[in-house]
Amino acid sequence: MEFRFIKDSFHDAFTNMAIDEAIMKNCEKFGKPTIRFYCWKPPAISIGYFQSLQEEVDLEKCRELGIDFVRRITGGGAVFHDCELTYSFACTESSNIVSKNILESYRQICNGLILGFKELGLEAKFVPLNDIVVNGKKVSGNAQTRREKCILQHGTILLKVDVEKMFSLLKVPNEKLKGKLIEDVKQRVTSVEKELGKEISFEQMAVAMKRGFEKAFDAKLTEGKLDSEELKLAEKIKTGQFSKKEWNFKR
Amino acid sequence: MEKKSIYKVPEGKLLKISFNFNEKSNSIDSIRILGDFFCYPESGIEQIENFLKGKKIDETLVPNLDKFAKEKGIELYGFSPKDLLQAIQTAFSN
Repeated sequence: MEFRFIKDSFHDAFTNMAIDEAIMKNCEKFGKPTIRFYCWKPPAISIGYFQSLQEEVDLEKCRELGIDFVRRITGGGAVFHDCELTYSFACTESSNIVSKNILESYRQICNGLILGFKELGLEAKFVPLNDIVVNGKKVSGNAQTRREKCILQHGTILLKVDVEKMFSLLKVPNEKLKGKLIEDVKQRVTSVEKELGKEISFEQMAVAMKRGFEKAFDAKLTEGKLDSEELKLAEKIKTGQFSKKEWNFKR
Repeated sequence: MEKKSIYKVPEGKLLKISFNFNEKSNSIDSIRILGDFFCYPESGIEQIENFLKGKKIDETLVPNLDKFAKEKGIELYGFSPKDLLQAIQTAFSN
């Protein structure tokens, strides 16, 4: 089985989300699943579809620091995208590459990451619904949507993590408990760099994760690019949706 | 009367709800359900919010919502109708 593999680089938050959606919308026409690796410039916060930007994010602080903020089309929580490899996985429902059962499909796609972590010598586990942990600490969060007969799952792999910086950009229900919350999250979240005890580059992570997905799906990931239709569609989705206040402040 | 609560679902996700409560009829005038959960299809949350308008906050809420979600093919991950009722009840004790 052959998958298209897009080894992308830095884009802003709106472009990244638009590209993922364009790939999903074009999936049936394209005819093959696509796996894309990418990163974010400037750093950004993305919130889940069911969250409120005003409730979750310190928008003033983000503007002050030049950090973008965007609503995803997928559920889940607020994520600070900085030193990470972000992946997306898109396939049609009819391809039967992943289960019709949502929980099982999360497990199958996350298995690609787990096998990728194994390439680096890290023992990772899937924690339903949507987390991957190493040594009991979260190193990856994932979110899936199913629309127009296609499945799109995207997620993060933390190369480095700065919990304090993350919390400086997020709102917490009780400011007095912020210090405790930060300490709590530090206990529950980790990064690949921390677990390996050494720095890891995007490139090294990409090599490992590519192999992980190839093993998980018994597939060959062949390097490719967005076609001209996808590029046009991504631009349309970026300007018509992700860049708009109406979308980002919808809830 | 507006009510709000933040409720951490045991072994689940965080629910942040706000609703307008009609004291006379003990029912929900309107409700907004936010959180880091998942709902398939995503439009299912708005359908649930619309369904709950005018519904009484009593022992019928959970079975009626369960039935509605099943009929509409809405799948919830991270919270259940029972958890939503708990979040609503938490708002009253806040």
